[in-house]
Amino acid sequence: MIPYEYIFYLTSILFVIAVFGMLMRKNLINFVISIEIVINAALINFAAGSYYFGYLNGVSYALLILVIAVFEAAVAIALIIFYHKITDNLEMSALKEYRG
Amino acid sequence: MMLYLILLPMLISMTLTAFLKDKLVRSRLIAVSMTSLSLLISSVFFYVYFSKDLIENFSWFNIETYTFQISFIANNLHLLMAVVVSFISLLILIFSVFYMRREKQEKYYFEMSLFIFAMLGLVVSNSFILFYIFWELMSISSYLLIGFWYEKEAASKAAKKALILTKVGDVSLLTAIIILFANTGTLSISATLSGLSSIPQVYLTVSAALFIIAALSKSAQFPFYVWLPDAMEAPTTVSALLHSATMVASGAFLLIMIAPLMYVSGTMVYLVLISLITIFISSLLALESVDTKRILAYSTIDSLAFMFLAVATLNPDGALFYLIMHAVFKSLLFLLAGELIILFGTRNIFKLRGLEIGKPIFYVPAFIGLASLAGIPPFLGFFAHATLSYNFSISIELIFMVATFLTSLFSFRLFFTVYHKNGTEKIREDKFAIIPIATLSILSTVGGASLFFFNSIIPIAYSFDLFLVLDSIIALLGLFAAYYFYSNRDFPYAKLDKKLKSIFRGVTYDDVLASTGTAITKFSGLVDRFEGALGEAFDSVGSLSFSLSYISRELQSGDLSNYIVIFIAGAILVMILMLVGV
Amino acid sequence: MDILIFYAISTLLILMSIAIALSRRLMHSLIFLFFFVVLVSSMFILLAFPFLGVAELIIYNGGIVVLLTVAASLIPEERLGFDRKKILIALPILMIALMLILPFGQASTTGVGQTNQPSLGIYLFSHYSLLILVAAVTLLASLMTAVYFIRSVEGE
Repeated sequence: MIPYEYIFYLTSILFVIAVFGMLMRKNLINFVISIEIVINAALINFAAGSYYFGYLNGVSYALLILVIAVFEAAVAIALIIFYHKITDNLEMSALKEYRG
Repeated sequence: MMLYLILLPMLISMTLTAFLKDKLVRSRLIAVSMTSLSLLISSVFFYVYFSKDLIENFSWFNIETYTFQISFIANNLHLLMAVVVSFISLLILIFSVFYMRREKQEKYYFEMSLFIFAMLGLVVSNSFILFYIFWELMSISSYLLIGFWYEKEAASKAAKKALILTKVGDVSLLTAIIILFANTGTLSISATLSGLSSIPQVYLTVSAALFIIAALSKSAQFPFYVWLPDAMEAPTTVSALLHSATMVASGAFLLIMIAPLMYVSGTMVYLVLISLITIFISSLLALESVDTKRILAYSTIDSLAFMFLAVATLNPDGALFYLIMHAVFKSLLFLLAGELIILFGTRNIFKLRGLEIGKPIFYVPAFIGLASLAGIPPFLGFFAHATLSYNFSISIELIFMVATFLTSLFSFRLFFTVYHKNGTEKIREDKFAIIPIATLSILSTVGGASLFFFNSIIPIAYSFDLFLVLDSIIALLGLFAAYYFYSNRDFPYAKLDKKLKSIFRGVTYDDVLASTGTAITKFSGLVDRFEGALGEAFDSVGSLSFSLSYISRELQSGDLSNYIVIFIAGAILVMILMLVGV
Repeated sequence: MDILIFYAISTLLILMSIAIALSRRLMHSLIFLFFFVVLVSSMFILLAFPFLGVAELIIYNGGIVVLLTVAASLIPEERLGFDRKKILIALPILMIALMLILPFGQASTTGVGQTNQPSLGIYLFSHYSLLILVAAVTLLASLMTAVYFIRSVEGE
């Protein structure tokens, strides 16, 4: 069918584009969106691994990662809302004033 | 059997002085009593194990198949050193009851107990690692004691200098131990010394050279001698114990202990050279010092160079005898210097001259000590020189005679400058000060006779031959020359000047003195630059760590965007490592 | 036949992700994310895991993207830009270069095809029960965290 290398190339390209988005955007929500893209690329990879070796391990991992992504996004958004309440904008550069 | 009992009293003393306040129990009481207990135990062991060779091992931990052991040795050599060390330490601690009356007692007695513990452990240990541990402990306690008055900047700088310079020796000692361990598979000194034939020659030479460097740095020889004169910032009792009798002698003791290794390795000719250079440097520098303790420091370096010379001419037992006798008279001299400092408040010999000290109680022990140093019969030094010079060849004997002259010259320079004919001061003596000084003076006078029955303890060879007679005559010559030069300082060189003028017709004594002085100053300038360069090297190491920390501090900026960049860079690094195959 | 569908889906995926990374308005990014997730779900169906595809649709699209949209509605409409140092483009380029030459241990395999789909649930709950338990507890905890945060924001 589809050789595994194709899927790996696909997911790595997606990952790199998401990394580009992480690095170059200064908005926090854009950052979280890029992380979601990364997670989805990993999901595709896991599912493909399970597809090619006939074991159900990959799909299990994929389901669990999905769950994890949910609550990680939930906490992140709670923090973003909190942050917006304080600073009224969503810029990453303002975060460095809160260190320590 | 339980040789660690020698160390146990000092360990108790350390803990008690560290934790009990001085008001509760007097720290000096603890220290003195524990040291006398130590002396008693080591004497008992010495008597019991006389002429036996006993090794005692305790298993410590093992790594795979090799077991590290704590092993002690009960040998004539080692137990004799233990007795000597505890005896001298006891006398000096008694003296410091008088000397350190007004200082912080617990700190002083703790650090002294630490030092005595380390020294005793050093002399009875049979395992190289244990030896190294005690060696390092001595370095640390020396650092603590030199910097005892650390509020004075000179004292803390001197302590740092001593620690750093002896650290060089520590590193080379560790390297030598590792080389020997890699070649013989055992860390025990006695096993290594009996298995010397199985080590390839190149490793023997390298490890012997490293041992020599370690001994040179600890015993303040060329080129490491610069820390000892500055270490005179320590209290005088500290100088008496550490920097005259025991710690600086530990370098010589190291070489005496592993003498079979040294003699197979063929590095002895370099040691002779270094000892001779050290003798001349220290004597010349002593001749131009004006501080009592500094002169005594240079004389210590001088005497240690004699010991190294004896070891280098294949006479380790003679070096041992000289070491023990040197401990006696050098600590006597330092204690006297300390007494002068406490009673008259100054170290400068010219200021002391101005105070016109002349009571017999002061100058008789000083004369005894300095005469022993110079080698004048019938005091201790004469007999010590007899066995020291047993193996000297003709050329070394000639050089040694010049060295004796210089030694005698600077010792009696000290004597005649400080002590005046007419004593006009009235000072009361303290009994704690009298006892050690009196004991050591008596020992210096009659102790020479012990040479004759020392043979039963350690096989020693001595000869009273022509060279020795010439040597003592030259020492007496030095005495008279010093008397001539330094006694009447009001018209210092007038007589000699006229005489020299008549002989040389034009060259005056002033010219000779001026040129010698210039030479010495130029040489000291070199030495000073060496010290300065060493200091700058250590400074640059420190500033390197500063700049590294500036760079790495920027990594933790608290800025999320920076963190992302670093994270991605780290991920790329991991991928590169995966590709490379780590 | 499968290959063609795979090419189509993958092309659209890449286009969508580029659009997310480069778009200037936050709402547009979110729309593109929605479509991205739909495409990922279809990829799962292509790889013969319909359960995973449906789960992704419900959870991701119905949960996370909605949440993100609510969060994005806080920001006034404006054009967003790229304001980091341009040299940082080197990092993703380096990364893709490395990833494309990562060696593959075995030869290119062809797929097994259908796995035993109905037994996914039994498999999951018999082998990964502990992980599910941990995930459930963590989910509960994050729920409480989020509620706590929002309440402390509103409660002032």
